[in-house]
Amino acid sequence: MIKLVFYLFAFLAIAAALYAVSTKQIIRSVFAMFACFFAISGLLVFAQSDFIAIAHLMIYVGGILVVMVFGIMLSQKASLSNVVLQKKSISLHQYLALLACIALFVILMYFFNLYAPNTPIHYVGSDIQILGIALLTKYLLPFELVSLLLLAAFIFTAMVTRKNKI
Amino acid sequence: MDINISHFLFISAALFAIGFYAAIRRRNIILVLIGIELMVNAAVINLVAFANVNTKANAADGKLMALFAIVLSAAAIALALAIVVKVHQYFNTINPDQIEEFKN
Repeated sequence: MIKLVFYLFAFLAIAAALYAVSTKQIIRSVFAMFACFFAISGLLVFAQSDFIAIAHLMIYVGGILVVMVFGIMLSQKASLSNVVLQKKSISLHQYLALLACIALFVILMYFFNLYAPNTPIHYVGSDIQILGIALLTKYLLPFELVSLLLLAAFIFTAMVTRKNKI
Repeated sequence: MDINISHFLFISAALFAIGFYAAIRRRNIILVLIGIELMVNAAVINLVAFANVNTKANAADGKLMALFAIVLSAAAIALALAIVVKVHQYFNTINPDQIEEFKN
């Protein structure tokens, strides 16, 4: 039963990602990414990291994709349903990209089969206590640095997008 | 329940390849950003899966690395979308094949 849910999430993630990169309308690909990120967040639960899964769901589905929808709205002249990617003809560039993608997948699977440990994952309990202690002891400096970096990035983003110069 | 780490590795390899395809196909800047996000997510899945190999000694290392990767990609995507909006104001298009010149 639990394996069935895992395979469902895995199928949903890969199928939604495939649809997102192959559809003609950008807004559809962004909404497919909603499903893809939701499924990836479910997969992170199966890798027994609950806190990362919740953070992933909040940041990606609640933050990044909403910002992406805003970016599409601000950068397209036509209405959202008419945003169609041009260049429908299949070119050499597309074949080369597809070939490179498949070659990359084969190479990655080859090395994963060669070196990956075949360890089954057992549930040992929630990881929030371990993560909290590690964040405030061993990883205190990266934690503070990453918060400073986020602040700087968002100040810079607001500065780039404002209309009149300072 | 015997979900191996290799299952996660297969999913992350597939997601990485799909994201790579979207990033080098280059139809639209937004799609390139989506491809980059897919690649970051594949890396996050790998980090979290490998955090289960050695549970007692350094249980938090892989998971915290995944958390930092998520935060950094959030900052990067915010910056990139701001640049996309600016590029659209300047060039009136966000197709990378049509943006050819950078002048002041």
